[in-house]
Amino acid sequence: MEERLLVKRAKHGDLDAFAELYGKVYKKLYQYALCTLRNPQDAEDAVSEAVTDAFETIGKLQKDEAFSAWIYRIVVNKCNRKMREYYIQKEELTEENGGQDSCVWGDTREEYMEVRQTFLSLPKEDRMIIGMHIFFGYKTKEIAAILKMNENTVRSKESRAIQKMKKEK
Amino acid sequence: MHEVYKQIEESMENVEVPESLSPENIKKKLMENKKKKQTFKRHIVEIAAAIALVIIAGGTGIYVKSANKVTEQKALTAGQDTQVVEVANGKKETVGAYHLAKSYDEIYDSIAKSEYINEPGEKEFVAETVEDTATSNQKEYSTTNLQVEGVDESDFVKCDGKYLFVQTDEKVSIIDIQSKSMKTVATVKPNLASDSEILDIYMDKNRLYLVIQERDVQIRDDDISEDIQYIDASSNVILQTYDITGRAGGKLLGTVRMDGQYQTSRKVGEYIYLFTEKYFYDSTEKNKQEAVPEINNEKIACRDVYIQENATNEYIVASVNVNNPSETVDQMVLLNADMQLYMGTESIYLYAGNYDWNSEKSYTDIAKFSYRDGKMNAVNATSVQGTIGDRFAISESDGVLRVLTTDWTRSESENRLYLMDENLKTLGKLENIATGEEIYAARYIGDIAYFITYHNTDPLFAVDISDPEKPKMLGQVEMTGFSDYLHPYGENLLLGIGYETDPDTSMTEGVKITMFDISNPTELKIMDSVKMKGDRCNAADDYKCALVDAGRNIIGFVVSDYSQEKESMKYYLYQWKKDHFDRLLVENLENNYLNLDTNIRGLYAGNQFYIIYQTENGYEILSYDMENNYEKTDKLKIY
Repeated sequence: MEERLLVKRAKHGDLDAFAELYGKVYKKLYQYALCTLRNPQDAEDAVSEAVTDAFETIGKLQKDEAFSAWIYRIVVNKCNRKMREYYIQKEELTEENGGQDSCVWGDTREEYMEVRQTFLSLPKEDRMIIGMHIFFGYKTKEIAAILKMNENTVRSKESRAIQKMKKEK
Repeated sequence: MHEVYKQIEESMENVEVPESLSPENIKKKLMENKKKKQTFKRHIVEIAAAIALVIIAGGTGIYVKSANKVTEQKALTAGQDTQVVEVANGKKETVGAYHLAKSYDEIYDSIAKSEYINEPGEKEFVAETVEDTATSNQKEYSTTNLQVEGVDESDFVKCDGKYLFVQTDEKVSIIDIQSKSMKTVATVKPNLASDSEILDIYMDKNRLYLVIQERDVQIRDDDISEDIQYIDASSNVILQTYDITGRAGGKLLGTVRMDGQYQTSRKVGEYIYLFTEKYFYDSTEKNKQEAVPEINNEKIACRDVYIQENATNEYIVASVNVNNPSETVDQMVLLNADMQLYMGTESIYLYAGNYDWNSEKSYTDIAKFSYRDGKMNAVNATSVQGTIGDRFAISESDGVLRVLTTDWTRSESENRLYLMDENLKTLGKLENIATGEEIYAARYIGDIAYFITYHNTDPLFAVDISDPEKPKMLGQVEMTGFSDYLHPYGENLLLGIGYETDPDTSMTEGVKITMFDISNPTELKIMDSVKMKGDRCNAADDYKCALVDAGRNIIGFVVSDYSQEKESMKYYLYQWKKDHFDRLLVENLENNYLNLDTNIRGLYAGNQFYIIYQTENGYEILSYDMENNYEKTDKLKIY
């Protein structure tokens, strides 16, 4: 069924319609949360909380706003919040609570391990920006708006990150 | 996508999503939540209660309706805060569930008590609504497509007929377009902090106004990780006024700085109204102190703050007289407001759609504020069934507020039209419109409300609202697809911009423009429609992207096509020839992943047509000779 109709149904509480919409994006939501937070449990919590909020407030979704873009934004905000909690709890984010556990990442081919290693060692902000590009298909201007940053800042962070990824290879 | 990005994507392709997040399990979880849910969004109930109270008070004559009437009643005493009273020279005491704060402590106390405030809305504030902006007078140059004639809106491009003013992140370029070869003659470049940017501009005669979002990234002494600094950044919106006499540069005349993230703004005559929003992240003492927003580094007086319990955010409004550009005329704060704006020529309306899980009803809260010469005051608040789905579905004319809503309450959706008096008392309504469908676009033209509903096909309806107490359905016409934007085209025509769909599957099949004949609203007719290959039309999503000018007979918009390996964006220009659309121009715009189709404008000045769009490393302006088959005459890059 077309997204517009699913959204319409979900808006008046149709759980099946909502689950269908969610089903289309949930892997991306988790991938983004995982690469941003680097911790599988937190990523799971972030997505779970985001989807609950999304269902409760779907009535507010504007007709000209895509469901995907909207739930992406909620997940981005949830991840931001988690990061803030890390800061308040003074929790160190290390390899140990994310790491390269094969159960989590599913793919242990060496070339992929290396790419992930480099990507996950980038500063959080860079991971968020790149994650939004890759998994959510956002454009720079949109990322800037979501992260409340200057567009040029986003652009230069991005190109620095790409340079770094290239160098590490 | 960049090669490096592809590698990252591949390396995470096989990430295992936890079982608990599968659509099936999420569904179960939501089902349980739904059963448990008793007190979703407590403040919604409070709004309803307070609205009821205002209505009761109105009935007993305590309520003073007019904003400028002054009662003799003295300052409020404790325990009387629910009473509706007005204070001399001040703002009205209550509106809806809001009441004015008596002290800063009362403001701090109303902030939600949780350590981490849950903010499920995450809704961006989009402004808007329009009415009757179609003028068929021939103009010398085009201006920003507005919602309401006489209520100016900011944009990244402005034109005065002789010069173009194009804003990029850091500066505004002034481009001389008096000859066929364009020339950048000056730039206005404010001193911006590192994470600040110009958002939009206004211009009138010899003044240029810059709306700037400033982000003050605070590096704390304790060892905060560099990555999350921006989360704690405080935000300010700055209005800078420049004298641009002679167009040789800009002389800064004044600056106003206010708290918050920019939401929208309007300019009415010599007054600019700025709307911002600020979130509270937790209720620590420090945050509470910062809860009272500042304007020009001074805390807003508590008598300008409308509060509500359990607030998680605030909505801030400030007005500036452009002749006195370093000061505000008035300001107003609403605590706990996640709202959209409609600003007519007489009043400001803030509205929010909600769904109440207890009663399973959708409804819209509407609060009205009067404004004049920068001064603002609360008028009243009300609530209507259903939610407002289109920015043009709310409109005010001669004190009558017209609102079209779609109601999701029952198993089948239902649409309604409400007509309310200056005090938001319902004068008349029309119910049970297009059951099972949803309002996609609306436009009020004179005494007629036109709107498009959509399910599988797209009927255009016309309702006579000349007698607000007895709205009367006049006629309808049906076609495939739907229009997302309606714009009057001269006296008797109405243009729809939207999409074509397959009536059986509802899948969109391309972008479509339609011309309706509305000369006889009881017999609406489709005159012509044109289909274009593509997935998205910028004018259907954002009215500022639409160039619709019946006087000059010109219709312009961008169609994006994502189906190809390389996304394409094309600027289309049409004219109307008696009974059909006639294509004037198609321009293929260079595209890359950094671009947004909402950053493209088409406009004319004299006999030249211009397309302004963002490229990978700046902006580009293309110009065309309108008298000579739209032959390309010049190209200018702005870096």
